Amino acid sequence: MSASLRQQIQTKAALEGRLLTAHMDLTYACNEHCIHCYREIRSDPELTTPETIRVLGELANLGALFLTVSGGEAMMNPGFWEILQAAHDHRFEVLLKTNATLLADASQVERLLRLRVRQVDVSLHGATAATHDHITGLHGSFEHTVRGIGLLVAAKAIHVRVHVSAMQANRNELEHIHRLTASLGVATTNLATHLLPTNAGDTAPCDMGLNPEEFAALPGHRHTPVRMLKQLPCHAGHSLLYISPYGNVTPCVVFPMVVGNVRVQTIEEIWNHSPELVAYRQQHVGQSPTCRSCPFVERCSRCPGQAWTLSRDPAAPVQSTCEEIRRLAALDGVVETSGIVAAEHDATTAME
Amino acid sequence: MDERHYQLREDLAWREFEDRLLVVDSGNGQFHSLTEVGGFIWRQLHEGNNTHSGIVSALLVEFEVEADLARSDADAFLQRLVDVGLVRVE
Repeated sequence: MSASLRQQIQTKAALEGRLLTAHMDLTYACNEHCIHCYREIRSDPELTTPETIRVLGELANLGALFLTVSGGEAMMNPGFWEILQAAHDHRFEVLLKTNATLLADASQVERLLRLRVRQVDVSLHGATAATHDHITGLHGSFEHTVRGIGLLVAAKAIHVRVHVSAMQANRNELEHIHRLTASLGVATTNLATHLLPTNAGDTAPCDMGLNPEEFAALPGHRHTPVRMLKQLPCHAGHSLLYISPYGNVTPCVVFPMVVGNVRVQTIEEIWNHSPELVAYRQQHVGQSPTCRSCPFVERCSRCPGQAWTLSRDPAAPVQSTCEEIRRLAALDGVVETSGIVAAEHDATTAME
Repeated sequence: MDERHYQLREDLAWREFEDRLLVVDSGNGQFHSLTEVGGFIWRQLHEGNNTHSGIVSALLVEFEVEADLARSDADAFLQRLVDVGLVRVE
């Protein structure tokens, strides 16, 4: 299948180092306290609403078109609606990531629609209140999240994706989650197969995840390693950047190499002149001797951010990924995509 | 004279990208890449120059083309925008 126009543009942007996608966590405050959360939360002051809106303007001026708004729980930022209005005014394509517990009623969904938020990703970690609430650490969160999903789906004009992090705590409910989301009318349910180390490098969350055999044993849930770009490990730092609530800029939300701070630098200064970012782009990541000689390199989805987190070297192999690739290959050569691992929502037309 | 008014939908995301103009229609997930001329017409519409005759006049000023060619290009492009639902005719 040929790449869609969107993929072609994203690839071109990454190869040329053009900013196309920005991810902003509006706050690290969250009403949930998930057991597998990878955020490194400090007591530093978070960006004010005027600061955030200024940054949105800088991102737009530099060419960013896609904006992911997340948290923490983004809706806990008191300037949430004002910031979305600014994103609308700057003509961003906005993806909102939320646990949906704070969506009070249909009027708020209508407000999202008016602000051109047409894609919402909702985290759901169980098919029962007992499991979901255990993982989120918030009693009643399952009920509120399911209600929020229902409100979003009812709007019809919003593309709702549910994200599930597979782990030991919900391993026996993954099929049920899929049935639940289907019954709610959710268009897409994605199953995250990896839990990430915290941004501070603590690998404890990873220990809660499924091993490759457990994951592969799930009917219809075979893991398909996906490498988005042939020439690069991913878009992080090449066409994508992340901005934390503290103003720190990193290549990606799971790549905590700080390359600047929007309180003291402009986005343009950081994107085009950060020594760390420029060096990273020139590093030809993924070309370490270990990776070059690996027979599975073609389908390796090694995360340079995870490598940096664990070793401070984004080109380093990630042992857990290496082991997983080998074990998956040993199982049967992997690779089929079906069921819960769904296709990207990306109908595309060219107009030329 | 064609005096229809062409209005860009307000719920579209768009951005300059090199010599192209990218437009995302989140409502249906469609992604459009406009050529240099298409991007020029799009910006004219955005700035309020939204009649067929106004667009043709702007094309004649911006590009060294014959009037007939400018009219036919504007016809085809504006109709395409209408067909894919990015523009409304009033």
